[in-house]
Formats: sequence, structure tokens, C-alpha cells
Amino acid sequence: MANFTRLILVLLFRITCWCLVTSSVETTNLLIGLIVCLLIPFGDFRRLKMHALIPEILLILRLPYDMIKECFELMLISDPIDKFTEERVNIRATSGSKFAEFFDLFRITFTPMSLVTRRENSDVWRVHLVASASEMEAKVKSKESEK
Amino acid sequence: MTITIISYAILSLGLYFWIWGTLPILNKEHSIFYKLHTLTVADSVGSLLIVVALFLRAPQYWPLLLVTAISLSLWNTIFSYILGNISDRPS
Repeated sequence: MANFTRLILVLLFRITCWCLVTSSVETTNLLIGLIVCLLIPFGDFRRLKMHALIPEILLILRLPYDMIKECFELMLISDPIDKFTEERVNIRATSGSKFAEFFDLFRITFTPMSLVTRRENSDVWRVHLVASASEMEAKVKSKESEK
Repeated sequence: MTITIISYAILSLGLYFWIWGTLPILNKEHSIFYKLHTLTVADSVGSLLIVVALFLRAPQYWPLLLVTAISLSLWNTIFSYILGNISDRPS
């Protein structure tokens, strides 16, 4: 039953793409779309992990707000310098779902302030951020004065 | 009338992001990574805002505009990752 649900979801996704690309929901177009969707190989849809995928897709809904906010943050940095950090791969992405991994990478890279450059190991992304040189200098100085 | 004003405002913001994000490419002092960040502002955010403004002006074309928005988001993000990955390879 679970595999049948997965198969239906894959088909629904394909038909939605077909309808969007053709901009039509007429019966004839839907039938042609269905034939095309059935002809394309399904791959290993049994390994589709919906419990990992759905929360990742929902998190993408937050992106438009983050995107605009980070745009202005980036614009306000007048003296940019490169800064590399390590960010943990989302727990859902480490559960073996390739799509969840892709969405995790997509969420980090899509926003202007962060950019995934590579995967250090199975648990960590290497992420590039933009920092302000004067702010970084001020932080270093305050740390030194604390010592 | 209100929709037209809102669409022009969003279009202007999108164009501003485009110009702001594209100009740093010409600056040799900036690193490739900073240029990739600013290009995200231009290509992803600026373009998406322009698509939103077009949607407000011609809502009947929403399927094509949605496909454009999804394609732009995927293409720009993957391309940024590929360029970032190539630039960050240990020598």
C-alpha cells in the first residue's frame, strides 16, 4: 500500500509538471501527459522517503522571507570578507533520502548570505558566508581585551 | 490601478537588485565567492521579483511564470554551488 501511494505521488508530480509546462488542463492534454508520465522510467520509487521529504519541502516555504532579508543584510556590508563555516547536515537529510539532501543544500545556497561550497563529510556542509571586515576586527579586539 | 503601482514597485526593486548584484563582477578586489553571493541577489532574488511583478500584470500566464520561477531558482542555486565548489577545491 505504501509503495502504491509513492507511485501515485510520483505520477501526480509528473502530471503537475506536464500541466504547468503545457499550461493546459484539458482532458486530451491530461491523457497525453499521463501516457508520457507512464512511459518515463519510474526509477526506484520504493525508496522515496516521504517522512524526510515533506518537512524539507515545507521549510522551503520560509525562503522568500529569508531571501529578501538576507539581500538587505548583504547590501549593508560595505567591507566584505570571506568567512567559511561548517554547518551540520539536516538530520532528515542524513536518513538516506537523496531528495532531502538536495533540499537541504538548496535551502542554504538559495539565500544570498550563505553558499555551500562542498560536503566535508557525511554530516557537515562547508558553507561560505560574507562577513564585515570592521565587525570581525572589532570582535577580535574585544576578545583580546577580555584576555 | 493599485495592482499596477505595486507591480511597478516590485519590478523596480527587482531591477535594483539586478544592477546591484551584477556590478560587483567588474570589481577586481572582490573574491569570486562574494561575486557569487551578489549574483544570487541579482539572478535569484532580482529575477524572481521581476517574475512576481509580471504575474501581477498578466495573471493569465501564471503557469509559465511559475515554471520560469522554479527553473530560475533551481538553475541559479545549482550553478552557484558548482562554481563555489570548483573555486573551493583544495590545491
